[in-house]
Amino acid sequence: MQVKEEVVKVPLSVDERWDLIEKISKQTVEFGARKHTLKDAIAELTVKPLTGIPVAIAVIYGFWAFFCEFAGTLFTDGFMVRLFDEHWLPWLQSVFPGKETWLYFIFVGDPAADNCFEAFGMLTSGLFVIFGVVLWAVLAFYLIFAILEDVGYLPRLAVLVDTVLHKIGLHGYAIVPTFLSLGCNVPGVTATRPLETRKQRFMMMTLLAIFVPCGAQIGIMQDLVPEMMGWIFLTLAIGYLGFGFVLNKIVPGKSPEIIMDVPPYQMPTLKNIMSKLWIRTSGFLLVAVPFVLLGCLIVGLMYLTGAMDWLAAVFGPLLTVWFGVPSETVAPLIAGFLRKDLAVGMLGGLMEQGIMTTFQVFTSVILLCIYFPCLATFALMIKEENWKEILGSLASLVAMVFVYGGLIHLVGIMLGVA
Amino acid sequence: MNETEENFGSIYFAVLGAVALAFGVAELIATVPGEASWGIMEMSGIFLPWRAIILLSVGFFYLSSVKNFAEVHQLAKAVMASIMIWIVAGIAIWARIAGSIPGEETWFNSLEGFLASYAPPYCPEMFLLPFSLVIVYYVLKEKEEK
Amino acid sequence: MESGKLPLKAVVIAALVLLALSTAVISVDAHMPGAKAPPEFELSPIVITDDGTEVEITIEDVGNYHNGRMAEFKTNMLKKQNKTDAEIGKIIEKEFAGATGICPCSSCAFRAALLGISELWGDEIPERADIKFISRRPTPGVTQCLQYITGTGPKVPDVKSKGELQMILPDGTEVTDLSVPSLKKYMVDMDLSTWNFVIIRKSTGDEFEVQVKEGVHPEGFFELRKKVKVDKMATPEEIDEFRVQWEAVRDAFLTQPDWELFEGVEEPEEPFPVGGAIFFSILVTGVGLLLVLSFRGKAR
Repeated sequence: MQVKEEVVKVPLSVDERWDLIEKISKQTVEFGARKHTLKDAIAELTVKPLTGIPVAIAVIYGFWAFFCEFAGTLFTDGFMVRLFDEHWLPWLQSVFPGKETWLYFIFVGDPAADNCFEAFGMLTSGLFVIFGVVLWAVLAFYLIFAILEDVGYLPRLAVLVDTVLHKIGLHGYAIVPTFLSLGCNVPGVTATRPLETRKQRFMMMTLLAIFVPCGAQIGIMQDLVPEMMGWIFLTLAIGYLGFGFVLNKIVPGKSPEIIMDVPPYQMPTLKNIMSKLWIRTSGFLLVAVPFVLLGCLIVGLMYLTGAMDWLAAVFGPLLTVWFGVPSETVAPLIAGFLRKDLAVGMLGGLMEQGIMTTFQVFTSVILLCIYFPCLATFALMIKEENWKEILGSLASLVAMVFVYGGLIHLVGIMLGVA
Repeated sequence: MNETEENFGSIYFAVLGAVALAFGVAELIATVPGEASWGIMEMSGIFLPWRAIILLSVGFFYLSSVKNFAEVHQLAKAVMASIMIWIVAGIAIWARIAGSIPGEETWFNSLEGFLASYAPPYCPEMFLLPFSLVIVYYVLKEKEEK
Repeated sequence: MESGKLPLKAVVIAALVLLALSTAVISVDAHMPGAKAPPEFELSPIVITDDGTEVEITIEDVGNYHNGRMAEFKTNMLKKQNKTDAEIGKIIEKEFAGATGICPCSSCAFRAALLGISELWGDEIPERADIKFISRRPTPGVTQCLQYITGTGPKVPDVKSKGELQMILPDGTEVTDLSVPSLKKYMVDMDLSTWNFVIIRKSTGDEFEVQVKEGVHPEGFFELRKKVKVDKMATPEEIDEFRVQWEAVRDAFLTQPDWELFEGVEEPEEPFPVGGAIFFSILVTGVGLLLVLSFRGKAR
């Protein structure tokens, strides 16, 4: 006769689960005194707030300063601006036939332009944005990111910021998708998958889409308005934490604890770094190149057909009155649906023409960051979220743009700079 | 690590910590006018306040590592302080390398222009860099003993 | 709570101070209405002795003197038009508010004097009475700058001894009346040849000629100047264009080195960067050593 063992499945609460883990570990694991190594001691220093925060400041300083020198000083300012403005643009302007034709306008752009930010053709601004600025910015970002990842510092940074991020219903782990999004929002959104509940994922994705600019966008911003970068990041960080706090209060659902693997510190290997760099940068270019070129094409066509002027006339009052930016900002905002870096590049063109004040440039850059994720990120969000969440994200976006954009304008008026 | 090495380490890093702390205070003061120079040492740039904070932390790390220097947790503080100096000084050197390669009028810099990029003045962290390398000896020593 | 309020208050005060400062920066230049304030520049003062007393003359001193003289000239003109004192006061205040007096002419003359003095006297400090200028440019900016340096102009403060200033136009005409109304008669066709000065060390008879280089003035500058300033036939666009060119010339004289501005001045050869070479050698040796050590460590 066979006896069937009946297993009764009783759902356990979080505390009960932890108790069970403790019981099992006591029975199966032998505990003994272990002498700390130098690595352990260093690891400890990087997660304790008193010592960990100064270390984090040094690491982030190193990250940012390397980024600026590598992408800005060496490649973009050192070689690419000269290559594109002094050689590529004049050559293209001299050989491309039919200066008055729409084809010339689409591919080369403004015939009077003397730099690639102003020209705005597919082969001028389009290629300059991708290969002159963004490629180097993304390369620098992913290089440092891969080193930090392989050394084992990122998980420790996550532990360090855990307390702060708990205040907005997230965990220290959120630093990983946030950092990844500083390179490109697409892998950032993908990295939200380990988050346990839909609330956490929804919050994380919405915050990434709104408040975290990608490396490409940062590269262009650094090139155009280096003196404003501190203020831009401060404004975005305030928005990230403030809006996260609000979302945590209004979005239903739970934010359970998660366990993160914190590996020991180790020397990164060149092979690993290179392969990560290659995979991420090539992946980025595959997404970026078609969208930037498409963006230039669409914006060019909209100018040619007069659609841009019509949109500027329709949305002009809203932009001018509520956000305090000129109606010409419509064009970058439209381009921003496709690529944010391209859109910031267009703002550069407006700056050079003297259309915008410094504060308007600041407001426009913030608006471009927060008003909508780029098309590639949005497509991924559609895949990752259900329709209810998508609508929720969009509603949050709209509310955020109006509240935050209006608030920045108000602060500008109060300070007398808007 | 024998007693002599431990004593030397304590004294050496106490002095280095005090110097780093003094440089940190100087950088912090220099943030008010935006720049300051002393001989071939210069404190300037948009990241000056952050560098001042890092240097002050370096000073505190070194000084707090002095007591019972041979103990691994104490040694770790000195190692961390040295790594922080390496990050800041490394970036300062990297900035010079990045600026030295492209020329102003030509694609690449002339030899004189290239070498001039490495000429003084230097930031305080670059002066601390060679002295911070002493920690490598203690790390190797600790590794050997293990 | 108090500590929370303080930064906001401080920020508002700081913002207001910045705002006030920014209005000061947006100055109007009486000589070129609507012109932007000069950029940041560093020009060493002209150092001379006046009857044994050391005197430092800065470009700001020259600008203020030029400004004062032009305001005086304008006042006299308005008086002739029967304007009341109140009206004159208002006009002068409006036209000269925030003006620096640093224009292309005064800044060029100042740079030429600096260069000439350093060439003729070297490290010595010239006595004011030993300095003579021959100017080819009959403008108030140039004339009043050189009058201030030589102490030959009216109302130059604390003058004990006087140098000499002669105005000889490129065609050889000598202008003896250096008042503004007199100069106006000669300010018609002024091309690059008027941007010329001779500095003379009277005690030795040594001379140094300063001629502004071609290319310092933007293309079409002289024609546009005539249209705007002499013929008064310029369109608003041409006036705007001239303002931009005027600013560019002034800024060039304030910021560019001598060899880019004046003929015959050779760019000083940069000394070989020994410090840089030493640092680079140490850097390369250090990196090499690091690589060798790390390879040896791996091999073990």
